[in-house]
Amino acid sequence: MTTDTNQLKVHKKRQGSQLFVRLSGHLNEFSKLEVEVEPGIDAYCFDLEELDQINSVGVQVWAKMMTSIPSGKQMEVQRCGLRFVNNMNLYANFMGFHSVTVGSFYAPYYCEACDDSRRILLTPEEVRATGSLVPPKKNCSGCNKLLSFDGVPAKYFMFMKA
Amino acid sequence: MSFHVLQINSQSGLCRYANASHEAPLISRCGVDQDVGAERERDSIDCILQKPDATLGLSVDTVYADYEVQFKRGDKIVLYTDGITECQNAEGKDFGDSGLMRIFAKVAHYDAANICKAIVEKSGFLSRGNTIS
Repeated sequence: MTTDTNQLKVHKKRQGSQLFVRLSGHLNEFSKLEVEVEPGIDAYCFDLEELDQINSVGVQVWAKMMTSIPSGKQMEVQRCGLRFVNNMNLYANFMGFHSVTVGSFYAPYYCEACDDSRRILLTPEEVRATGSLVPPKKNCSGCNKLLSFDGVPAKYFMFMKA
Repeated sequence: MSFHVLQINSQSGLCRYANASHEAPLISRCGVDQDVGAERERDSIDCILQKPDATLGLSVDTVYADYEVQFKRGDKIVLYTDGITECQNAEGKDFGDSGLMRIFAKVAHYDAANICKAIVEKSGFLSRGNTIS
C-alpha cells in the first residue's frame, strides 16, 4: 500500500471570532482536511506557506472543505504557493461559493545568471500597481541581477481579474 | 473530471475550444518572417487562455462557453495534463509550468515527436524509474 511520507498537517488557532489555519505537507488522496464551522467564527485565514504539494485529488479535498464553511464568512488565504495559485486559476469551483481575499502569494521568477528558479512573495496590490497585471520587477537574492518572470503573466495572475 | 476539447481547421488555422477546468494548452508562436524550423525565444510561449468553466460532472446545468484562437503556419501547440507538471526530478524539484514552458521554448522548432521526447526527458519522469510503453 502506498503512503505519503509528508502527510498533511493542519494547525489551527482560534483568536476571538477568527480561526487561523496553517497547512503543511502534501494535500492529496491521503489527506483529511476539516475545519470547525461552529457559530461564533466569522473569519477564516489560511496560511499556505508550508503546503508543499497539492495534486488533483487534493484539489477536491480542498474544495470540499471550502464548501463545508457557511457563506457570509470573511475568507483569506496567505502565502499561497505556485501550485495553489495554478489551481485557483484552473478550477472554477476551487473556492466553493466564497469570495476569498488573497493576502499574498508566491510567483515564479528565473535568474538567467544563476540559471535557477526563484519564488518571490507578492501581494495583489503590488501587481495591480503595475497597471496591467504584469509581473513587478524583482532582483535575484543571490546575484542581485534582474529576474525574469517564469510563466505566462496573463495566466498566472488570472485569479486577480474580476 | 477536467476536460479540454479543441477543433482546428487545418485550412484556415482557426481553433475553437472549450475548457472544463483543464490545464490551458501552450502555444509557441512562430515569429513574423521566421523560418518554421528556427529556434524561438522564451517569450514566444503563450497559452490558450480563458477563464475555465467547471469540471465535468459537477452539475447538469453547467454551460460551457466556446472560444476561438487563430493559429498561423509554424505555430506549435502542446496539450498536457498535470501528470507532467507534477513530475519531480531526482532531487525532488518540481518540473512545474515553468519547467514545461522553458523546455518547450527551447525545442519548439522540433517536430512533434521530438518535442514530446524532450519534454518527458526534462520533466524528471524517467529519472524516477518510470517508463513509457
